[in-house]
Amino acid sequence: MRGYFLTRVALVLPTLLGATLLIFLLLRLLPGGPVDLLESTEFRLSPQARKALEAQFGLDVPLPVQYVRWLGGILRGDLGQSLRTNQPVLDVITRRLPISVELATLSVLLCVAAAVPLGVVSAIRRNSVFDFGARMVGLLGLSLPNFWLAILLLLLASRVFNWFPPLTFTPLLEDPWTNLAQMLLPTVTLATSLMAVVMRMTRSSMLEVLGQEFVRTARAKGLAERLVVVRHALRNALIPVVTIIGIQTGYLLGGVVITEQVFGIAGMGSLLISGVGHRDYPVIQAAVMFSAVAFIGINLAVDLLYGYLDPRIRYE
Amino acid sequence: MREGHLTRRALLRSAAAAGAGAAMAPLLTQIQHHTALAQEVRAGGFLTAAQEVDPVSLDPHNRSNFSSFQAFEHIYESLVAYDRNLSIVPSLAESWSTPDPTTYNFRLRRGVRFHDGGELVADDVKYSLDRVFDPKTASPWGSIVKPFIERIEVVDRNTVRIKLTQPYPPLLGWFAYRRGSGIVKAGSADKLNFNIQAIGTGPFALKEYVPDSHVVYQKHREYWQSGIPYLSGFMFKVLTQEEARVAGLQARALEYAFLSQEGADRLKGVAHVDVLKSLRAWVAMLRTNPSRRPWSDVRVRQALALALDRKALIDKAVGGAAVPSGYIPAGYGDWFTPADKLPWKRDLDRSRRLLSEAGFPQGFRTTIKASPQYPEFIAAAVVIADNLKQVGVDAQIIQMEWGQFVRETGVQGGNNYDLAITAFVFRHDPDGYFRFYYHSKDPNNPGYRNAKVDELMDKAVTTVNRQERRRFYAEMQQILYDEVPYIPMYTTYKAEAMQKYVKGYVPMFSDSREFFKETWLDKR
Repeated sequence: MRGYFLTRVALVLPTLLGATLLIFLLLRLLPGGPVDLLESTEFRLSPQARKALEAQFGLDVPLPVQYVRWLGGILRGDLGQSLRTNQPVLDVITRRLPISVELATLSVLLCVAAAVPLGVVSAIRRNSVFDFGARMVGLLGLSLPNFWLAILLLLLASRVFNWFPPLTFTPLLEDPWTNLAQMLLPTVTLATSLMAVVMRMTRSSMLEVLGQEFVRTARAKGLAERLVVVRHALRNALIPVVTIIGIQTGYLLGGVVITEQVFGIAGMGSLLISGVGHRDYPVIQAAVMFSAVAFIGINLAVDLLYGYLDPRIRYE
Repeated sequence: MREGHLTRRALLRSAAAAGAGAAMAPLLTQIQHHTALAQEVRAGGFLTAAQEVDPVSLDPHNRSNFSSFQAFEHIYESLVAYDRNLSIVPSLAESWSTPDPTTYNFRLRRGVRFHDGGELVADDVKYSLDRVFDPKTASPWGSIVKPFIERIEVVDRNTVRIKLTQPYPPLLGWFAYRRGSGIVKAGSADKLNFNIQAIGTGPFALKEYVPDSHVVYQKHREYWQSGIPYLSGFMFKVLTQEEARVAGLQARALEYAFLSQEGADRLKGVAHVDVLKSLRAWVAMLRTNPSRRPWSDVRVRQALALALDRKALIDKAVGGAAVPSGYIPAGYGDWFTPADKLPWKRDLDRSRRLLSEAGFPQGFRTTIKASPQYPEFIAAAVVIADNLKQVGVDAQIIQMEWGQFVRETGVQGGNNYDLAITAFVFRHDPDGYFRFYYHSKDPNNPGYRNAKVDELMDKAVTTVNRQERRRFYAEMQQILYDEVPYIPMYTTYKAEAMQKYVKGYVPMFSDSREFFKETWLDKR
């Protein structure tokens, strides 16, 4: 198991290096650079001003040098400075990350709490009214674009309940109530689209497992149906579900761009989108890198979970 | 009565300013004041406002973005200011004299305090201006004035002298404009990160700035203008989605927000919200590319101007909330061309004739570039393409992300466009609506050349006599109207929504919200 783990970690390094190169190059391929974005269509900078800014932003050296400088910085734990705010990128990210992590965690929790039971019941009562209903709702959740749902929820809250979420972020530990009130609508928004996927996956996976022989055996030896479903079937059915949840969590951690923007939440998503809007290279690079690292980390965690859920899976 | 008092004082000041060669005359635009005259002002209270764009930076000198100005205009002041009618009034300078047309002596107001308690002195003014004009600062708005500045001298602790290379009447306007002329404490650029930190002399001090989330301001207790600001502070919550701003107003979570016509319509029937509509300096421009065929042919540009249906443009692009405009936005003092004097009434026959003369009896294919950053421009592009089709020109609309649009339609991207849509906002002087686009010496002019236009523009900007300046601009605009390098389309109305108990706010033609300093809340 240790060997396998080490091999995997060793494989992570080239993956990450590839990711850095890709991010770096793709950004430079974007038309318009940080200096262009300081201009507007009404007003242009003089050539001298452009030169001064390029030097200030470290863009006056050839691309390979810029890339190596950036990599060298990462190795020293220095992600550079935001071209827009002059703050160290690491500071910016450490301030925003907890917000995105909390949002992702709450969304996943809400999603799992609702979607897994729904999927199980749907599978047990296959083709019942409940099953059709749940599948319809699931399809709806999957088809609704996030930003649309977010705006609908806001309008609903303000028109019907005369309520609007608190405007500035309060950490959970400081004031749980305000914090959760602010997280409520974005969490529901994100959980809805996530739920559809997880519910459908749980349902189809359960159906598959329920048709297998060990389930028949469990029933034949006289186990209560509840035990058959929860202990035998569900546990086996969860593996693909966990994978799906893992992948989705990766997306959520990377920041949910539109949802954060609608609600004016300063997490990783709005950092990324404003970074792209200003071509703030160091910030975009760091945010995307973080996203890549989160994905890799979660994949690793999912693999470990497999082992717990199905003792037959061992790293050998 | 506070209102009457202020107006009278402002009038006296504007008379003084006009004598000193002010660029701007009081606007004739009717502005609704959100005031209740008979009421006693109630001080205190915190205003929660929405900000529609995340401010790019709080640096008062080196950013061209309007969103930056929207954030720092409450913090920094300059030597002079605009009053509600855009007349120039004293601010950090309590008076000034111009012994000759190239010398300005500014006498600083005594006892002005920065937010950190420091006192304003002449060295601070010199430091600030030196920073603006330093090439390393790369100040876009500073670069306009720089060629006219010979030197800045500290005469004594409270007097600053500015020597100009030649007469430059827009100077006072440039100070009042504050997009590059804010006064900071000497040496503070080295101590503070100006992008996110700020210490000025303005009515509000920066309390907290969280990019992409909010900016919080608190009252400057030692503000030199006694009695104001009334608010103990206010917040700009960044909400880029208009729907969120509408919902926030409806639920009473927001007390002020800027809206489009569409957003304002959605608040109809919400009894606790007032919507103030006023003309704003936002003139939508259809840019042609005079360096690229066939737009290099003046007849083709004229044909386009004749094909445009301005009423349809205004109805479709901004829901009817605009008036037809010339090069200077309608409502800009007494400089703009009144609606009944505007050329280019729609005439499709003449348009087709001109195209035939230019060698395009069957029309041609072209493109219109616009960015969905401003949905208004996409809607306008659809109308323009439709208008062009009626004279046989097939225009393809190309939508672009903002950064790409800025680059491609500028000199850096090689002016890679046929037609492009943009808008020009408030300028400190009429010169700002012409120099960057039509002067053949300006590097950003995409290719329009006319020696007479250059000459008139240069004369207008260095002539002190106001009537003469007006004549030069009128004559120059006649040439531009005839040769239409760009085609001005319309000037828009803006809608600012606020809870009914928000009083004292004055909408500004310049889109400044500096009257938060006189805003108060009529509630317990």
